[in-house]
Amino acid sequence: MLTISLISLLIAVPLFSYRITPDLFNRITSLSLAFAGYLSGFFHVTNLSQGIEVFLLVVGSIILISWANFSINTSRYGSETPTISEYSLLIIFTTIGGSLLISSSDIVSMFLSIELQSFAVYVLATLYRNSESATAAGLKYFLLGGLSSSLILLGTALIYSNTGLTHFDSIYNLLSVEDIDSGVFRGVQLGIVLIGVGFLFKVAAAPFHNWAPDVYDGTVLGLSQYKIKRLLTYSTISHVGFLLLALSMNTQESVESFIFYLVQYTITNVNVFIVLLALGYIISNTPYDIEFIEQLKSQFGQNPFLSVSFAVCLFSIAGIPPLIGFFAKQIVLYSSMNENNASFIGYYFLSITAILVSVISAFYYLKIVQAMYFEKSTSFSEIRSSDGERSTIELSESTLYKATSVSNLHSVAIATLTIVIVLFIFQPIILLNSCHLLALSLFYY
Amino acid sequence: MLDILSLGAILSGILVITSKSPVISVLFLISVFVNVAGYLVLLGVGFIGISYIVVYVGAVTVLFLFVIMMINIELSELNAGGSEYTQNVPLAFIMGSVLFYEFFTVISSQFSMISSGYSISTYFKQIVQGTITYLNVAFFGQSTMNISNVNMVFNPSAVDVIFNPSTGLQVHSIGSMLYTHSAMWLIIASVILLLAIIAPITLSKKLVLVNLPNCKSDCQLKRIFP
Repeated sequence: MLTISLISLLIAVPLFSYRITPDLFNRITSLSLAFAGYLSGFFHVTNLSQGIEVFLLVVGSIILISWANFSINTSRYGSETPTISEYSLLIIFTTIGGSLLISSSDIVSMFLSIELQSFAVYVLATLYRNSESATAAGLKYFLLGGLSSSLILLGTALIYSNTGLTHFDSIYNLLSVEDIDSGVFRGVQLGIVLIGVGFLFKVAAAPFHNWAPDVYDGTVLGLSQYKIKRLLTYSTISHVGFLLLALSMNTQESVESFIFYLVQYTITNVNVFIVLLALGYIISNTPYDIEFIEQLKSQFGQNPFLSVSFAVCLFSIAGIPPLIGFFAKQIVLYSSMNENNASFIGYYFLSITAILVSVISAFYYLKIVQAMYFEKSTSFSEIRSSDGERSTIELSESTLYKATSVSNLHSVAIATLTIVIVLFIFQPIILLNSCHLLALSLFYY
Repeated sequence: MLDILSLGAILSGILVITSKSPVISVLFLISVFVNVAGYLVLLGVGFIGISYIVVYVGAVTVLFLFVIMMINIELSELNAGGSEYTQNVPLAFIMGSVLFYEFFTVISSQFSMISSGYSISTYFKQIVQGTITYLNVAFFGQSTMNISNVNMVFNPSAVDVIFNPSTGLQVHSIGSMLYTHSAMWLIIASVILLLAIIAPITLSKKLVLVNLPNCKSDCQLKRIFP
């Protein structure tokens, strides 16, 4: 279904783009993604892979809603580029690659799906050609993604040369009857280590995380904590750490907690970014891309509901009850210390480290909340005085950015996600039962 | 034939480094690739040889030519002569001698016919002879250590038909599997190529303001090709 929509969009975009605006394309694509999540299946389809694929496609459709949905007015464009019709096409490519990767049960299909998904995201990262930081970020992401893909390929080549098989089930069967000390086992172990390193590179897990803040933020400068997107990148890195902690124990509770944490983290992260986008549209005298925390000052007075949603999402990331983020962290840490399972002792040191780290990182999220609620706003042109090159541009362009409104669909998406985060505690059984069943299907079918 | 191809590859490789203009270097690089591809085809791995031509000559050298075209290379600063040339000769001598040392010690210990008491030139001749006859014995199934039995024409040799004896050549067997059993991989690879076509177009379209016939004051800013 996704391929059909891809081909039809491919034909429609160049031929009809003077009639159909790009935001319409985005909405059509988000609809087709939502429907494809309802009925689809590739490769080796299990309950687990289909459940996660549904979630992936629905999230893709939510992401598409919040971009490029203002009426196009030529007087608005200073140095910012307008919307691009092929954005939805690239999102479809990424989603196809992602859902193929989830259902792949062979080494070659895993590699092909990773490449498909990564290539589309490389292009997305460098889409704004006029911004030098965006092109630098895209190039850096492409080079590091290529490196990690070649590491994965080296690992798969090692596995194939040691076993002669590429299917996951066959490799599992072979390894379950092999001796631990044999050369086959050691070769496959090295291959799996290399594949693991390549994947960790791709998800920006520490210690392979150095590329992520530059790419997310779009610059190659050093660390600077007053940029919002950089802060969100570091929060992503710490979330990935939690996910890896949940994944490294092979118990049924830990897999359930992994799925639940993944769902919760995706919802919260998507909500943070689309609230940031909405704030960029609404606040006057700023470009559509909010970079600094200072631009968000005194938003509670101007846009109360948006700033409340933003604060809710940030509190959920920090792990404050009764929001959903707290329960996700709790279930991960509980499954890591659970001693009821006969073959599992408890990861005490890791859990204590995770708790301490999440307490420390809560400070950085609360800094944004403090700026939004307790500080008076300064005019935008005073901020960039230290960065000489930008300040002259900003003064002349500050009159060009008129505030535009957030579309209805965008605000519905923000409201729905925020309500899911807040009201999870009243009806947790929907999400928890789904995660439990998916994890059970993996262990006892 | 193998000798001619390997000689051509080595000669072209030397000429890549020593030619004056970068475009001539790229042309000799093409000749290196074609010679090595022919060598591989004669050796029996037909698929790898053909893919050398498609990938290396068709994509990598075209990329090199585009880069050379786009950057302004002053030919005068490339031609090193006099002292600039001779100062690199000791380094080249060192690197070459390291390579030959490795040939004579590491690789020669794997051939049992090299015995002690020979000089450097006989070592070298014996190594070359030993390599070729070893390959002949291993791949072409000949039991005599005779250097004149190198294939002069292209016959599908043992290693070429080893994967699928009924259908013959390596290319044939790979193709018959790729289009039937693993057709899904082919389709995904084609989607990746589709993305590779779309991505440069998306990244390099120019922004042009177009006066559409229907627009009054709200003319749509549209991206079209320049």
